[in-house]
Amino acid sequence: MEMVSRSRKMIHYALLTIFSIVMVFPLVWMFLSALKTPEEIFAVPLDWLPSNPQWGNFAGALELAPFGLYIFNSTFTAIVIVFFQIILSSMIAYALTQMTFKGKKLLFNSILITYMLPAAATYVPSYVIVAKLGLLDTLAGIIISNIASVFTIFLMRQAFMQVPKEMIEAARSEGANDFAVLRKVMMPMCKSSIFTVGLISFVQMYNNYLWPSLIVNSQENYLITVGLNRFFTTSGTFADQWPLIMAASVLAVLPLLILFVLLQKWFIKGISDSGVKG
Amino acid sequence: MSKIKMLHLSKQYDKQKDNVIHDFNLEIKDKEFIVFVGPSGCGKSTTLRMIAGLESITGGELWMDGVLVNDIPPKDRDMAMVFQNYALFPHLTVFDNIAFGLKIRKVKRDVIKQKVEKTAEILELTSYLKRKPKELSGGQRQRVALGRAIVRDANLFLMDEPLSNLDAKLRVQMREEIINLHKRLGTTTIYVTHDQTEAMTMASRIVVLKDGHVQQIGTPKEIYNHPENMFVASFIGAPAMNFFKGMITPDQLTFSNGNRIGALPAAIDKQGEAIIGIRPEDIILANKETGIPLQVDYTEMLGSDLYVYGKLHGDSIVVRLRPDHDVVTGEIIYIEFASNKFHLFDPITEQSLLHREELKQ
Ligand SMILES: Nc1ncnc2c1ncn2[C@@H]1O[C@H](COP(=O)(O)OP(=O)(O)O)[C@@H](O)[C@H]1O
Ligand SMILES: [Mg+2]
Repeated sequence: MEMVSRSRKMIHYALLTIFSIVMVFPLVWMFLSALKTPEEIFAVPLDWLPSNPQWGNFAGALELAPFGLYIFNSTFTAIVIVFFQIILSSMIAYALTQMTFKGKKLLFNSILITYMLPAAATYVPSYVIVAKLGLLDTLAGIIISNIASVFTIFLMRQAFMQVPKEMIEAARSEGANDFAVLRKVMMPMCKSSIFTVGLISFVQMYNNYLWPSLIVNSQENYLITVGLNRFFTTSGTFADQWPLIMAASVLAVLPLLILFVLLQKWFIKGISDSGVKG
Repeated sequence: MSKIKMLHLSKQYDKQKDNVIHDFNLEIKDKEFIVFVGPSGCGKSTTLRMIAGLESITGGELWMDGVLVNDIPPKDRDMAMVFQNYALFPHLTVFDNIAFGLKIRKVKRDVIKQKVEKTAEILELTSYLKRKPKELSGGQRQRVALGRAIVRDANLFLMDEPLSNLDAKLRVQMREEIINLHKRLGTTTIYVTHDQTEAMTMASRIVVLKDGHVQQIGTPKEIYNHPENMFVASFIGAPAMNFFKGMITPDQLTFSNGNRIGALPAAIDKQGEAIIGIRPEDIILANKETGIPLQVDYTEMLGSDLYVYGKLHGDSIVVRLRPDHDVVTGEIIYIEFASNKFHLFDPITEQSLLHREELKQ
């Protein structure tokens, strides 16, 4: 028995290790390449480590294109989007879990159905709406077209359903109205779920490429995803630009990494429990 | 001040055919301590929650201090509720839990501080104010829940089985505390429990419920001494009242076989078959000549009392004796009934055959 479960464990660990390496390899490769010279990147056989780390690549990248501005644009829009998503979704989730009204099921189902639609199918109508609002080629256009998130609504609803009914009734009998119940009971009790949803959504928005690339035209409104790609396609993939592209990519990933490190605790908590026990 | 009037109150949950509460009528005077008691599922919580405004009223009228409150939301009914599972906010400290309602009402900070501290003092929570609920024992949590209720000086306290999650010893202690709190504050209280001991010891008036129907309303003494039907008779009092089949003749009570049981407790219109009820403490030992023989099936020694179980003409019976009697299993004892302590019930309707007025004389 002991032996079996032990060898099974070994296999688990071996598989996990292999997967982790596969997952993390491109990231490591990117970091290493960002510090190499063009010759080192294309050296055959492979040079793993840069012989002389080229820290200047980062400054070089920032000179090639305003990547700093792009990163700011991405971070800024993602933060604003997540903020509104959380506010709006929590209100809808509250209504969906706490209120009784005609057509509640229909409402929830129609929200879910929009999730099933392929994103590409919504691009044209969404584009027309954004255009009519006069928000083409603005960050506001990106923000407004993203503040409603089915994913966030769904997860918030799940989290709110875990809050014991008695908590809400206690708040009500203490004199709380709907807003107070939401703000003082539901949201704090679902804090870790909200952090988790926010983080996932932030990453999604930060990595969003296709839709923003349709909306924005001028360079000053580029998101980092768009900026990197445009840079790539317009200035060509000459060998001597690769280290700079890699350096720009490292810079692009940095905000996400920082966020993960900061919110790691909440992230794991949000996944492993609903945050309302005890 | 809080007076409450319930007129033909009824409740039907969504998608259910039958009412769970039927025609509930009750008038509660200021400062009363009313206990709703009944078995699980009889509708106690539902009724309480309708009074709180947490559950809609589907029939009848609910008046508070002369105002019809059927459609008034909980926050505008001047009441505080204590829940069975305490329902403390896990993300807030004891202080903030107690202060919750005051903060919602935008009471000034220094007033809140002062009120919470005073409440904490009453409930001996002062040294726990900075803790979170999960760092407290069950009894302390219950005190916090009480604190949250009393800090606002609400006009009405609603308590739904607040002690049922506590162990026996703590339950007795908290029972005492709640009674003292009521004496001190004089706030009208409605208290829900399935425990008849709590009902008997705490209530100024008891409402006995069964399957959504009010069975009887009265002081603990009235309910205990003059139960209006067999359900109330058996639900209130432990061990429960003994019942056996008997006959009412013009001048006495007899067993079905005609053997005499005792004199009639009062003048009774009805003749013929009846269910006779007698409490375990109203059965006394008699001598061999005049007593009714009872074979002892088993005994329970509780220290303060000795319960003797046996069968009388096929009906189980329990006798409560002083603990110094020596009674052993298998022995035959001789009993008789304290004659004016009989309860008589109609075998079909299960309603009492005694008129209360006559009994009280
Ligand atoms: N939310 C609800 N929906 C439907 N039926 C309910 C609901 N709550 C309680 N009931 C039913 O109403 C009856 C009374 O319940 P309740 O008031 O909780 O009883 P008690 O508190 O006396 O144990 C029970 O039969 C219960 O199943
Ligand atoms: Mg209940």
